[in-house]
Amino acid sequence: MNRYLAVALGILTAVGGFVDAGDLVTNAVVGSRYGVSLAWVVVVGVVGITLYAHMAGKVMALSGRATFEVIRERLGPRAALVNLGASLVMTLMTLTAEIGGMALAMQLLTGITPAVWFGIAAVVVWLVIWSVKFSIMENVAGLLGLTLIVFTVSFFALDPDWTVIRSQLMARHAPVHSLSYWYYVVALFGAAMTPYEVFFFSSGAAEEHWGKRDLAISRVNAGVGFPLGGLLSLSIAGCAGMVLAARHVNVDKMSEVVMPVGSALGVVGLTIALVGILAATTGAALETTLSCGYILAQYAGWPWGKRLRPASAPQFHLVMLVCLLIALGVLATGADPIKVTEFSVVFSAVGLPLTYAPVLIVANDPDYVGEHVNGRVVNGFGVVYLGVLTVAAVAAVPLMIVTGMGQ
Amino acid sequence: MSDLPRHPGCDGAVIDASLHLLDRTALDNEGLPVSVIDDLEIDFESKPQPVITSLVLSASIFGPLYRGHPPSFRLYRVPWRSVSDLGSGIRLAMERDDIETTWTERWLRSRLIGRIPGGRHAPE
Repeated sequence: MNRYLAVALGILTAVGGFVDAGDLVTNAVVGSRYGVSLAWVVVVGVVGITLYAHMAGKVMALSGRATFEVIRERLGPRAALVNLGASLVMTLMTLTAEIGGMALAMQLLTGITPAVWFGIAAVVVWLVIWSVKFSIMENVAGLLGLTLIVFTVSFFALDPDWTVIRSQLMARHAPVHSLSYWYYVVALFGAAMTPYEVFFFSSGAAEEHWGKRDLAISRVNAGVGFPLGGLLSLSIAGCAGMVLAARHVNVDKMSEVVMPVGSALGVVGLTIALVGILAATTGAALETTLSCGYILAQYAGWPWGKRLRPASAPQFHLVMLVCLLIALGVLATGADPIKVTEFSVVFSAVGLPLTYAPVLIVANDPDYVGEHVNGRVVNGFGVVYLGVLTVAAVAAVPLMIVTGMGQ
Repeated sequence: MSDLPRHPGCDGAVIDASLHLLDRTALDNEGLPVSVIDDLEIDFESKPQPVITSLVLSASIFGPLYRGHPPSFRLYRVPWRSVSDLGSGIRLAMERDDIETTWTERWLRSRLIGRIPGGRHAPE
């Protein structure tokens, strides 16, 4: 049984990273506008995150050092502090959106206003972090999140016109002259490679006590989890492309994201989709809360991890508690959780190179990984991705401003 | 540190202080992180060559924001002889509670986190 559940970390990381509250909406928006013609971005993103997550997992398994320790060690205290600030703000924004997303999913399931659910959602997240074992947490959240496969089923049930899909996949009629198109390219790429996925993956590897024997597990986790996340996000875009684009719906609500599933599979499908969204947003809320704790503790050299008693890692738990309170505070002001994630996805693009460059360097350092240094092919891809990440980082904010967030 | 060159003059490996010491995580005798190596104190008067007398541990996460050095009495020093292993982290042969930088941790444990129900049990 353990062998089958061994990919849970990869699945939870990817579900939390690819189909969190903001991505759900971004994917549906992109789908309703461009169909699946941005599929290439998802593929590029999946390859990149798989590559780098495995590198970070490898460094953790072989050296016991997590990603943010590596970032501080290689960038020095100041540049690392800048990265810490950016990553923390971005992860906190995502956390805020996830708590909001959980509440929106509960609203759609029960009809009770989201304001009631914010506090409950935050308490549930805190209780899971405080008292549930890491492996149980990742298995339950990851497996329930898999119910989002219902979007893939819906896509086929909607009987797509394959000539249209094929021409979209080849991106033949992509509006390459439209800045909005490139804004969404950067947003989708940033969403696929959000840094907290790597923080969570490498720290989760420590929670699972990965050692030298677990390199294969790291490879399988990254290689199964992230492509699955990519498939789910493509399915959401595909469904939106068929149903929402035809009805000229401009997606800005969670209810519109699940509408295609309703038209394809009826009430049962809709319920499954909502349970999946609830699980995915909860998984992402856990992932982002823990990531806030992980990165601050790793930067400062504090003990961290759910495997320790909370009393043995007090700063780690205090940080997470404060982050949850901040998220609740932001939601209490009436901020739209969906807008919050759209911002966070773009800001995450800005910090990408500062996170991934140190990982690439250390994955080539025999002090850390011994004989398992990266091969030439991996390094070749790694360097190409650093270039792409840098371009995305530079372009992100100007594109956001010029296009008015893709309007 | 296996593939580092040997020192020609004495028996030991050659390490690069800025690469292998600075900004690495400091670990207590059980391998749990305690702090980060912020600086080194070097005795340049020592003969025949200068020696590292102590490691300076990071006291605050905001340290890097202000330039310059804190006054000497505010530095959290760990004598070099307490270092038990140099690896991806710097292992110290010291009990956690004997390391000065852990005072915030001890304070938070006794005043806040340890008092919340379940705070002293590992998650199950």
